[in-house]
Amino acid sequence: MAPTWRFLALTALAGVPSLLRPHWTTLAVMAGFLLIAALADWLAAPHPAGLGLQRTPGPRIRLGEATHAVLTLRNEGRRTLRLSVRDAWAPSAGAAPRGPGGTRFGARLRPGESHEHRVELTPTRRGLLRADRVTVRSRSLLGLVARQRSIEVPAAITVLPPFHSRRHLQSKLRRMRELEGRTAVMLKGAGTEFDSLREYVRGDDVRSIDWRATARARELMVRTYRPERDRRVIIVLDSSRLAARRVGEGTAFDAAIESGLLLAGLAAGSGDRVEVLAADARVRAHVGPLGRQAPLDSLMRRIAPIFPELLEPDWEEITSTVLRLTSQRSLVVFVTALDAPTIAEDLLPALPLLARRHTVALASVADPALEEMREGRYSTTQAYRAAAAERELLEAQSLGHALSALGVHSVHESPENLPPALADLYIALKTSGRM
Amino acid sequence: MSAGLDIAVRGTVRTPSGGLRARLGGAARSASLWVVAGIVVLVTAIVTVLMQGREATRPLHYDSTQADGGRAVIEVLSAQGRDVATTESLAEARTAAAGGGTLLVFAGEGVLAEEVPGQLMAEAEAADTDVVLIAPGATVGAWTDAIETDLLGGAGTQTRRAPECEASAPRTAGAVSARAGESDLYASGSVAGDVVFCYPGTGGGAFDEDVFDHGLYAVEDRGGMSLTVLGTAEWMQNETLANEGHMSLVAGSVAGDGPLTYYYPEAGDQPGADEAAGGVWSLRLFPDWALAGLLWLLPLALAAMLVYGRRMGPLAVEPLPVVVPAAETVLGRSALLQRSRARATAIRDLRTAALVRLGRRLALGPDAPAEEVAARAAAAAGLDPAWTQSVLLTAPVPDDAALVRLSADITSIEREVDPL
Repeated sequence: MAPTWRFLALTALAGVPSLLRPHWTTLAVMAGFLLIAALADWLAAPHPAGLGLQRTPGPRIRLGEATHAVLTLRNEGRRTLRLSVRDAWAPSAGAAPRGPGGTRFGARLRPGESHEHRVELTPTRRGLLRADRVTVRSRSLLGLVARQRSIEVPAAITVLPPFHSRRHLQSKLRRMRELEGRTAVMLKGAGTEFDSLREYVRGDDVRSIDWRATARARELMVRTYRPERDRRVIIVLDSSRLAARRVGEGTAFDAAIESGLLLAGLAAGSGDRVEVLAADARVRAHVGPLGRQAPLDSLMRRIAPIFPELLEPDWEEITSTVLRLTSQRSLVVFVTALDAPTIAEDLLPALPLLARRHTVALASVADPALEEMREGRYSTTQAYRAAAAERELLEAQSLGHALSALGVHSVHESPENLPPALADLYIALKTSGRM
Repeated sequence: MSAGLDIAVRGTVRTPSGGLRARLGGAARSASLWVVAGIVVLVTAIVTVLMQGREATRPLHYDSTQADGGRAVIEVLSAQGRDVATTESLAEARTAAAGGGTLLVFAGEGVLAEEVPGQLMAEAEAADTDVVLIAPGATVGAWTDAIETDLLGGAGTQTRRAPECEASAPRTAGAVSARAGESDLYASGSVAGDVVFCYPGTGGGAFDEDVFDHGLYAVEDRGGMSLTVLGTAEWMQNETLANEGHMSLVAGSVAGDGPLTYYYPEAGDQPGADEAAGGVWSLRLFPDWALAGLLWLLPLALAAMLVYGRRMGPLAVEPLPVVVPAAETVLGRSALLQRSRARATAIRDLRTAALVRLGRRLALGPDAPAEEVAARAAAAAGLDPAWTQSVLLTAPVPDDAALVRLSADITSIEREVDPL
């Protein structure tokens, strides 16, 4: 039961007789008439049960792009419906409340008629964007009091991570191809895997001359190499409480996703088999192996709904999962936020076992706020903050040293710089044949 | 996929409606049933109000049909051919008092203002209007000095009384009844007058035998007019009017040739009522239509609240992800350091970080001793080596001001050191 502004206007009008004949009976009678009018009008309003609804979600998008959803109303009853409708979406869907493309609209449907309403959505958060209920107000011709119903019409749109680091993907892939020798450059043949023989040209490393082939061909022949292919890359995204930390614009997990996507795209494009794990106290997603064709679509779709939770990461569980995945020597990349005590106490003991069988790299998100805190030293509070920030940075540094001592490669960068830095580490490992 | 195709494939969702049994149960719980019932009740209420008009329920009011109302006595008197007028207005009562005939006043409950009885009596005496008071109680003194309440007489426990006097109306009426506690005895007042008392008390008073002349009914003859006091309202009430000689007693008391006016005083109509109700800001200063308009603002406000307060469906739910504030642990640690005044720890961290950076910038190995880094930094920046040494290594930190000063000095040394 929802009174409309017309009911308010009628209430104002019903005050006039009591001005003309000021007596409490007039007031009581007019109030009674008003109530009767409201109740009778409510009875006269058609029940919204005769309304059929369906939502057609629009296309999947990356965060920052616009999408839409179409709500279809069909009058399946026998009476004309006069409706006000609210097509509710969560606030982060970024739908305007009113106007064309807004969540609220009116419709007049004769029996059998349909109405389509398109809601423009600009989501402000990655993940699975679920539609809320559709609320329908049905009023009579007079329209004093409407019947209101909220109906569950399920629909969801996947909002993929923004993948800002995709702008690096092409340049990194090009470098990879140059190193593979598929493009015409002088630098053909870095890497350790034998590719082909060709004639010696001035400038080639004399150590790569293949003397047997030279003898056969009677010309100076050199071996060319290319980076190894079909290696495994296992990317572990830490979704624990460490990743829930706000770093710059988003959380550490957002930066981890960006880095993971770039690395996965690069590795899959270079012919490696990529598997991605998102894990905290348990493994929350396992995607892969990713193919060469459109490798990132399914990955993004699976990663999009995952948000970090306030759980302690179980590094033993994670390492044993990784060990179970493959016995082939692979590159295992942990992407996490560096919390020196936690990493030192929990991750470091679990690493040697892993490092013996695989190449391990640790990519961690640095907090740019620490740099700012380090700079300001003009008051007592600032001085103490600078000291605490320096301490944190020193610990991160010494942790980096400890990791190198274990033979673990590490990258510690701010959220914007982490994806390209991790990609560079991959390229460096790949070309030096250390994978 | 277009929306049309989607509908064709998946169909539509509808508000769920259960089977027959659910629908039967639903009918009983259906809002429509209760709404119809509500409409019926409202219509009945409105019709009743319109039919009845203004219903008065105050005791002995001339429009009240309650057991303690006074409508019956007015009806009977009218039926007997008496010219009866009724009023709640003091102005009309004064007109009646000045117009001859009989003025019947409901004097109980202390509604009348202090000066009103005197004015009415003066006008009645001037115009030879008989005045009949109903249950005045202690206020009888305001009407006449010849009669006052007999607090010592004792009403006794017996309800039925004989007239025991010479006045004509009681003698005609004979015995009446009066409940103890709802009736007052009257006796002669401070000034001797021509007063006749009837229906005396039945014992139980302060004296063994009645010393004074007293009674529930008193008539003072004032020459041209008379003042009659009826000691209890019971004689006139709808319920008890027909008992004993009540009707006869009332009819006899108000007998006369002129018109009978029944004045039922109202508190709001008394002189000085405005002040009593709150001085000059009283609502009485407003005209009635303005008051009615003000009162109508209540339902209007209620309707506005209903119209604008009713939400269009429940709030949309947003599952919020967990976000830990940036640099939370660092801020916590700095607050801890500051609270425990751990200046030594703070300056050690600041110096260590600076030395590590300086060492790297000056291309010194990680094993270079701190003294060497400090000396090389002083040389590179052209600063006093002793001062640099003290800032980077030895200077004590006695208070927070020293900490701030030293940390600023460390920053300036770092800034001075050119990497080349």
